[in-house]
Amino acid sequence: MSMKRRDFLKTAFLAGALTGLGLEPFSSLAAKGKRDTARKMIILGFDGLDPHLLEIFIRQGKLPAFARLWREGDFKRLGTSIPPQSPVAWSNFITGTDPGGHAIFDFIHRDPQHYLPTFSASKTEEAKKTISLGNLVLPLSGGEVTLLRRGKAFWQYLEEYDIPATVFKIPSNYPPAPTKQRTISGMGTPDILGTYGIFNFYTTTTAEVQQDIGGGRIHNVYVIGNQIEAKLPGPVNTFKKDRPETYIEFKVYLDPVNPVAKISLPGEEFILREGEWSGWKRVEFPLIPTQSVSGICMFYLKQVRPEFKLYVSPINIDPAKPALPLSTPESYSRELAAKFGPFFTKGLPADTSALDSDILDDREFLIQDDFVLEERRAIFEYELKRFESGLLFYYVSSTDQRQHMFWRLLDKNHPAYDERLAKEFGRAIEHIYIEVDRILDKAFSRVDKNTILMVMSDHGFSPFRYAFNLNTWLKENGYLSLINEWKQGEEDFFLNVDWHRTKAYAVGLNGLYINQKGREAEGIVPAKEKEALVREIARKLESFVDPATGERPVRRAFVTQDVYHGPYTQEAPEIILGYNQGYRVSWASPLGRIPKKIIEPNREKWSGDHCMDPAVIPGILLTNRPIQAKFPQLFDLTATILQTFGLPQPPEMRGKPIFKEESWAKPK
Amino acid sequence: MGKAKVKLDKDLLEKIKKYAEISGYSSPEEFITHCLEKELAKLEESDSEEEIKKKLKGLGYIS
Amino acid sequence: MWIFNQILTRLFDVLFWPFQWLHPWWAMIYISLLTGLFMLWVFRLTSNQAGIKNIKRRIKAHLLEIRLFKDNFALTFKAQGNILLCNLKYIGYSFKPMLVMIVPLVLIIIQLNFRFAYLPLTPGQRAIVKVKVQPDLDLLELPISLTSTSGIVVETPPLRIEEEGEIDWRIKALEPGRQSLFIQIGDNHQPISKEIYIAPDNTRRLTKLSPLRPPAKFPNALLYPLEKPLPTGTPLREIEITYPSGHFHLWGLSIHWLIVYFLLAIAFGFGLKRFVGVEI
Repeated sequence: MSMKRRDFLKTAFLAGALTGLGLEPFSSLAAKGKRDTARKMIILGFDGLDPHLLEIFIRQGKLPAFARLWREGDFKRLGTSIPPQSPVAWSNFITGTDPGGHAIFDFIHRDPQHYLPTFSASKTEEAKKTISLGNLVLPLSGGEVTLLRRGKAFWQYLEEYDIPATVFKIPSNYPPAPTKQRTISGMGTPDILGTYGIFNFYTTTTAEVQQDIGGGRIHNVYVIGNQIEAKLPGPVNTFKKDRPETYIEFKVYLDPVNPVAKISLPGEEFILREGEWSGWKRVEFPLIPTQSVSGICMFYLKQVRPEFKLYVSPINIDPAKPALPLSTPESYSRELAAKFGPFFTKGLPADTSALDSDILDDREFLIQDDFVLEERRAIFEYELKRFESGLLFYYVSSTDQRQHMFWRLLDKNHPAYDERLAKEFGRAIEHIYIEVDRILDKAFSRVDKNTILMVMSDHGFSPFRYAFNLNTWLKENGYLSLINEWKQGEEDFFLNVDWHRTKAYAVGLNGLYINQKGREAEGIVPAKEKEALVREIARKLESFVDPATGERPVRRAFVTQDVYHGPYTQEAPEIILGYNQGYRVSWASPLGRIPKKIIEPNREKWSGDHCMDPAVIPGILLTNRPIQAKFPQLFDLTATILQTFGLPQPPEMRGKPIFKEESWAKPK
Repeated sequence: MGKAKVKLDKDLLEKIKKYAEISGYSSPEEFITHCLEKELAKLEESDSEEEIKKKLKGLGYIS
Repeated sequence: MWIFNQILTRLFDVLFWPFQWLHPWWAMIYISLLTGLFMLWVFRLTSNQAGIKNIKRRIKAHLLEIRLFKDNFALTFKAQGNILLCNLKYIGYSFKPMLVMIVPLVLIIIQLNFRFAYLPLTPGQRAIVKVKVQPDLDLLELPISLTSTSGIVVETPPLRIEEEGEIDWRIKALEPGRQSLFIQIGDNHQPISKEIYIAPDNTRRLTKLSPLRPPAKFPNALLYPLEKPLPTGTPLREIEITYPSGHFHLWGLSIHWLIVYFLLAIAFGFGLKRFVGVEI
């Protein structure tokens, strides 16, 4: 098994760093449909905007544009997906189906042959045919990046009827589904290493080097004669047999007294004062003569003395020279880069890992996130200005990211609440609501009587105070066994799990799988016993009580056979956990670690979350028309889009239009 | 395919020869190659697991 | 040297005057055409035209020989040897005009470099000002400061790199136009200026830019002809501004101006040789 497992790892993850040079060129597509539509639609997708908070801020008079939209139209809670994770929820909206119809069940799926986590959104494969010349490996065929989301996207339906659509940064669309519409990928887009984003941090403090940091690499550097020499790691060089990591050497010159440094990259130099950000810098990683990969990153000179500290953001794919497919048509990302310069292309742009591991502090994180917002606002205004007909979808991620990171300063009961920080940054969430209110205000300028304006979010938010070790619960309840009891909690990836005595295991943020005979490599549960086992586990999970609080951490355990519809239901985890408010899966459980305690307090800065029971964290829906539906859901919006443009609804779509057809003529 | 020679302790070689024959390998070389490949695979695997962890950790939802 | 540089720069200013509002591609095509004609003219004046004609005829004859007697190995081999000899002779004939051309071409290239190789700053853009001082000076003790006219702001304190004898500042362009930087060392010296140009926007036009104010020494004074060399006796060795580099873009390729220039000039030379009546 080990050889297979190794090969699997290589294709799944090392291939993630595929530089794109071996990739087949993304088919060059002509411009989008040009039909003038009598009706138009502007949809603003604000990730994670919470109805409860929104209402409070509206009532406090802080969100005039939202208040206006509510007054002139309608505001309702929007039913989210099971589970309410962004990739799943946005896929519901994109395809008008539930996970049974689009096959995205979680951020993380698992490979049943190896019990290892995999990216759910896309798969990268290297060129299958290669030729070796000495240490060189030259691809003879193209490698491939595949979007794993199934089902047809609403803009693809619109395209069939020549209705133009611009879809900006919608999650779960990397690589962008083939279309002639103007689209650019959002959440799910990797950094240049093929990962969710890895920052680099250069420091002279050895204590920081010891840290085991997720999403980042810490480099120990030395100041010699006021100069520092360092390397910025790049993608793996797939053109070389031994697959070395590429890198760029750079030098930092420090003034002997002043807190200022010059950073000298190949082909570019810039000076930063302590506490300054560099803006985007282009970096080229050489592979073989004539071939290189271009990326963009930001430098932040955190400190010059007494200890030197330099942060370099995850290296984003360069939109001007994309090494991996980013947009349709391919030229769209280049067009935006030519107009606005480099911009964040990585799926989740703000570096939450750097804040979580104290590499960036709250203020520094917010500055970085403001860069994201500034870019988004500029591109939005550009797209809004040229929006003439059809549909414009625009997405903002900062709403989600800030609520994840700053909920602790809203919630006095949160284990990570800090009164001093709350005074300074307690309004970070409120500020982002105000920022998106401004974006909405801009949108009003393009709304006429024939335009539907819709603001929606994929889910709401809730505090994340307690972490639930689902795999530990399975062990305590006899569904999962360890090889060595004394090693419990030490290893990831189920390395200490005795599969021959394990009936169920959990991977990802909400999923629970049965170790099924014939499906899992070392499965033991026969197919005919599965259903009863699933129901038994679901019942036990729902009745489990946290002895510390007296609450039930698991509000609902959804049996996917009951709640999913469509051809991919068989691929889903058997159970999706709907956690109660305040609870979420632990940090360790999703990757197969089994800590000793079932419930632990969450003391991390990542303090707000939404991977819970959909009923406790609905999203928002505001439109400038009265909403007919009593409990509108994400997939209802897809049906509404088709209805707006007079298109027939395909049978696989689950939703129903939220407007009465006659309401079109008379806004409230 | 290029070949390279590796020096082994005489006693060890004797043992290898003995066990290669018992285990049904066609030659001591085959036995040694098999052992080394197995060990290397283990090492490479653990590297890759670290790699997965590092890469997925950037997700923010996990640690 | 400065007077010579000034005359030459003025001459090129006049040559490029009609192109200053246009994209540099136009000026590039124009100057490549002039260079092509210039090279043809030099060739006609200085080369042995009859000799070149003769040698080319002989090469043709030997080529014909190879084709006609391709079965006769000895003859073909001899013809190939003769072609090689003729080629050497041909190179010899070209040597003199090349020699004559090289000096004016170097001067032309120096002038073109400052019109094609750099892009001006635009408002909001940042650059580094690098000042190099005499090697024996102690940078930490040197009372040096940088000021500017109102269109520029100096954003950082001096960054001193002792090993290189270099002091750097970061500046930010604010207003378009010709601006100046002033370097002051102590109270005894007159401030030394460096010109800097800020374009109103990103629209690419032919712009003459001086990235470096050189020392009054050969060859630097020749290589940087746009600004008066630094006065003698100053502790400064040179002042440089890091303008962004300007490449030419064609079908998605970014090409160095010098390659574009030579390719175009040679293409024009070959294309026009018949009209000018020159044997190359």
